[in-house]
Amino acid sequence: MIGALNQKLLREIWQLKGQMVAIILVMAAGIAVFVLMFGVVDSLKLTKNTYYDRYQFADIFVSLKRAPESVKQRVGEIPGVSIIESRVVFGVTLQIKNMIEPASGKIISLPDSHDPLLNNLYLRSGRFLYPNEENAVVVDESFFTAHGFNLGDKISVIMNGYKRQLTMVGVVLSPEYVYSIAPGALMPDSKRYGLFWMSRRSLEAAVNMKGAFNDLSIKVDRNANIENIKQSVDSILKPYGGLIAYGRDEQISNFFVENELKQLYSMGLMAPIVFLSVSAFLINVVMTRQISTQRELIGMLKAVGYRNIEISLHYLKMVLVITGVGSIIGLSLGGLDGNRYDKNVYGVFSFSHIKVQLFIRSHGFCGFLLHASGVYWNLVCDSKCCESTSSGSDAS
Amino acid sequence: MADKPISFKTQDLKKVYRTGETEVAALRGVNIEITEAELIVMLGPSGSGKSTFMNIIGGLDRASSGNVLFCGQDLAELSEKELTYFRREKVGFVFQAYNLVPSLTVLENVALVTEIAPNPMDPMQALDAMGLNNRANHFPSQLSGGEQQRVAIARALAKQPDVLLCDEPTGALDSETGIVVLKALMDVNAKFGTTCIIITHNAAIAQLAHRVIHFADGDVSLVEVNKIRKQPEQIEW
Ligand SMILES: Nc1ncnc2c1ncn2[C@@H]1O[C@H](COP(=O)(O)OP(=O)(O)OP(=O)(O)O)[C@@H](O)[C@H]1O
Ligand SMILES: [Mg+2]
Repeated sequence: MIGALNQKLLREIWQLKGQMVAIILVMAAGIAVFVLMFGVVDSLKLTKNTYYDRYQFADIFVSLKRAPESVKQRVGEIPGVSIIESRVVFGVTLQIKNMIEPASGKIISLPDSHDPLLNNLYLRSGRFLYPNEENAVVVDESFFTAHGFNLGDKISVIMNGYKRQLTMVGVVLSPEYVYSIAPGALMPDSKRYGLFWMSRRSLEAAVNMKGAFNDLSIKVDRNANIENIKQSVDSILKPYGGLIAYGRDEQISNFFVENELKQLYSMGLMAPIVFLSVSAFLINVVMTRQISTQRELIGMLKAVGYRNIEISLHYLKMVLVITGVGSIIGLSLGGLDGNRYDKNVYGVFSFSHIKVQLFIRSHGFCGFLLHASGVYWNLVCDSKCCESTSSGSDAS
Repeated sequence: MADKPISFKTQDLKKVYRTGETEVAALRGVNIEITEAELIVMLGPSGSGKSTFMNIIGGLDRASSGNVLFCGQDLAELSEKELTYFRREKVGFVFQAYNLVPSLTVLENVALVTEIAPNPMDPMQALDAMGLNNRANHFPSQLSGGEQQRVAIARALAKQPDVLLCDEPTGALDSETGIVVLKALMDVNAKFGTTCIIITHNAAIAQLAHRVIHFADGDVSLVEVNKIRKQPEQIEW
């Protein structure tokens, strides 16, 4: 026995099923997007952190004019510094066929005697460099694919006034350049800015930096005070034309990554807010209409001795059914999708690519649901209006 | 009559409706006693305060001043919740508009009331008494006006109330169905000893009552006792 009042509720829900489904869909969409987006943001954060950890993304970066390799030792002695790597980094002009505007790039040294200690590369295709290999580079994937290069293609580079032909033997990703942004540029432009890694020995020779470096990456101990270390680094490097040392927060690629995550996060918040407001509005419309058409029945219920709270609860139950079903559907949809994503993401490091895909997917999903429920709502309302006007004229 | 206990007793009962600046005195000090198991018909011109009076003694509305005693209990002393329970347990209302729930069957409409009543009869039995047992599973929209009104009476009756308050129960019915409905009310009154108060504009119906109370301008203007009560089928509609 469910009681006559609940029976009334069930029958009325059934009568309003069209509108119910519409509202439930909008609400479910809101909740699903909410769950999904936060799942995505969480997964991306996890991916980012895992990526940075495994590939030894440095904590402090600094550029300088030129310092003898021995200076590195002194920086390494600063308390709190755990790993340090010196590099030669050189800006170059690129000459690419069929490109009218000049492209620029950066060549970064890779140690010859050992694997990089910091900012390791992930090999997407091809091979890494041999020790001391000359005229060969590995190249950042975004530039490589933007131009449709093939492994073994040569690229003309003007380096220190001389033109050189470098063979691209491998394609890589770097935690330092998830986004590759040219100095002074506002946005990543993978066609006009390329990153290359070259044997340290070869690069030193090409740019007259033998036994010297002009770039340092530093990894600090877990609890180290980064500000203090930066200051010490600055004071050591000052005589060598050192620029101000900066942390991850000012590292341009990481800054972009964090920013994208933030945007995704606020998108993840915005879309559900819109959906949920729309469904709240629709619930309000339905309930207002329901109550105003049942004014006399409410009077009758009071007259026969139903308490106000029992009557309110009766109408509230309809809202609870909508929100309950909407939440269950929304949570399971969002949960399912989030899980699928988690499985995808692990171990794949083309982090920026996934992000774009996901963005499109989730936005497409919201858009679709919003659209579908909007159309549905219009249909339902139109047909209801027709019904009420026709029954109205029948009555008169 | 005199040996029977008093059901309702009103003392200088007044009701003033205020809408903005204007005040309407709907009841101007009504003093009346209604005995248990009595069948009362209330007559009076439109706006004379009959419905107002019925709503107050039925606990749907509160008086501006004066008292309503139901079996000695002053309704003015009851809280909102107690007043609700008074309606739930003691009073059955029948209105001109049947106020059936369209999405519930006839049986469920009756159950709506019996479910919350302390001492109800079986809803089927109430429908039986109204000659509606074969209509139990129909929806109100499938019934005629007279049948719907009988459902409303069955609903009021099924809780076995102490009083039945009927505000123009036959107002929307033709004479034949009106007679059926009135017969039903007289039956209940006779069989269960339920106090019945029936408001009507049809003076002929007054001949069915034990007593006729005439309202005029917010007060009782005349009380008649019927020495001979007629049966519904005997009256000229
Ligand atoms: N809610 C209200 N607000 C303001 N005035 C009211 C209200 N209800 C009734 N009145 C006024 O109180 C007076 C008595 O009304 P009541 O409904 O009791 O009359 P009635 O005798 O039942 O009339 P009828 O035979 O037309 O039903 C009328 O003048 C009416 O306009
Ligand atoms: Mg009236």
